Amino acid sequence: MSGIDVDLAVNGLITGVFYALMAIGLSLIFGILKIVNFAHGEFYMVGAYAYTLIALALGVPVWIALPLAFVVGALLGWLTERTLMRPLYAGYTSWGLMRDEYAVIVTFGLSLFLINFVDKVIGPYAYRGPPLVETSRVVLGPVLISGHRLLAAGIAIAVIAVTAALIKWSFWGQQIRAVSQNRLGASLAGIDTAKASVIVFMLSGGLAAFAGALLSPVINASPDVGIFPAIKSYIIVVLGGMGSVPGAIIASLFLGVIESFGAVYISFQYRDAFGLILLMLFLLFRPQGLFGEKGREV
Amino acid sequence: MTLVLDKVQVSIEGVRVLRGVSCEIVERKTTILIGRNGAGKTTTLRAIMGLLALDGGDIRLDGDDLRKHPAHYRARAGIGYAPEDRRLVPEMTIEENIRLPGLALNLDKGELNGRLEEIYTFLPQLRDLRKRPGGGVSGGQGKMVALGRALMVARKVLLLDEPFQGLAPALALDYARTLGELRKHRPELALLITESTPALLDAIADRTLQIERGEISEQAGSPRTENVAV
Ligand SMILES: Nc1ncnc2c1ncn2[C@@H]1O[C@H](COP(=O)(O)OP(=O)(O)OP(=O)(O)O)[C@@H](O)[C@H]1O
Ligand SMILES: [Mg+2]
Repeated sequence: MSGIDVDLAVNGLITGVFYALMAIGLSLIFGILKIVNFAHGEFYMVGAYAYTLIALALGVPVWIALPLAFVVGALLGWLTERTLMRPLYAGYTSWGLMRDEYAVIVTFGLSLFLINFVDKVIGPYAYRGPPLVETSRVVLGPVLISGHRLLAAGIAIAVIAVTAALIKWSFWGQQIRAVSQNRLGASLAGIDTAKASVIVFMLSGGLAAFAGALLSPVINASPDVGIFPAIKSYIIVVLGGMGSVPGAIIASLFLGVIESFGAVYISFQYRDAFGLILLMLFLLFRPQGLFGEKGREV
Repeated sequence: MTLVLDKVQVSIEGVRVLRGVSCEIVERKTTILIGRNGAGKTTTLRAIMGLLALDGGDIRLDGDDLRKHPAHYRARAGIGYAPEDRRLVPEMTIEENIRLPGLALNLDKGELNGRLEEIYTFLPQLRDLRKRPGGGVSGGQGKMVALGRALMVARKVLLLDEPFQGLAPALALDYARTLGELRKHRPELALLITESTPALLDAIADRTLQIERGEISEQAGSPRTENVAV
């Protein structure tokens, strides 16, 4: 591996880490409600705005604005679950789920609403968030990274590690996994499936908003900034196996690296298309994804 | 302890499936619910578990109106249910599946381990399977696991849906022996077992109810009261 390859690999992995922050939440939501949240990118957008505005307009230190962005995302997730997701299962007994286009329409509607709401209330201009550190460039052997990006990646890795550990071992993490894998079985075992889905939405919204906040110094947030990261997340969730958290993390890193190399060795203009090509290949040859189950109900 | 069903009506997909089911499931008794395929046995159990909305009627556990509570409340109230289609969590081990209700109910460690040991004593096969994933056991083994999981919470009522269906004769015999043991060790339990073939459960039945097209009647001739071995 030459120096440039090491640099590409490291930068690709870092990109992948940010993808993972988004994709984990999307995957968890799919797991627990078997729906695709088409407003996921807007949680990210809201996080970027929340961080930027809290830090710049209110003058709050970045280290406080960052966790606050998570809180804003979590609140938005909570509100979304309570108001829009309830009908998916409320009238359908506690284990059944509505099986029609409701979720597609309502999450898509939420996405459009949030984009336009931010556009009207805050304005269509791009906002740039304050970086966490001013160090412009860090040189690590052949690898060149901006100080903010390196720090943000470190924080993201820590957050992902904590999230994965919580899902694996915590009281609610275990219950969430049980509901995802067998909703009725979990309900019989005494698990409050409604509460599990509220927690998932809060975590998912918080993580996506956190990703937006961490990247706000580089993405120049505008109301539609969430669209591309959301599309990447959908691709990742399919690649990783719908509903699998480890799968989502690995697929995120994989996509980050592929894009990073592809942008240099194949085409820079087409870098956002590699994921879609990968998606098509997976759908053709391994539709269950890297870690997906062919059937999750027993 | 009494679980009362009072004129329970349930519809599935707009079709009335239970048309006024009334019965009492009482402590220390094994009640068998017999009915043909499609008679409404599973629907009755699901209604008790809060998995289906009632059109009318009442379900009460010692006067506590279960309609007011979400489905997961049943486990907390001491009602265990082993569904005919098992419903295990595939990526958790058998032991994790059995412990799951204990986790959800936030039982303390000592209590949880005590119950687990008790379950392993009743169902020693489960001890050998405990490291296997929930998705990696046979249908018959899965029934045993579902029974174990139900026992984790069944302090008052245990509902078993066609426990013998699809079991090999040896395994069915095992299961029947286990139910006999259970009666001895947990005399206070109210047991409700559904079956489509009555013969299998004759030996352990205290009461037999017949369900036909969504209505229950007490079966004449078979009640053998007070044969509860202590
Ligand atoms: N998902 C469903 N959609 C439509 N009708 C249903 C559904 N589930 C059950 N039914 C109907 O409800 C009635 C009662 O079904 P239920 O499953 O309670 O019967 P059962 O006594 O448990 O039968 P089995 O011995 O086959 O398990 C049947 O007539 C059946 O056709
Ligand atoms: Mg049935």
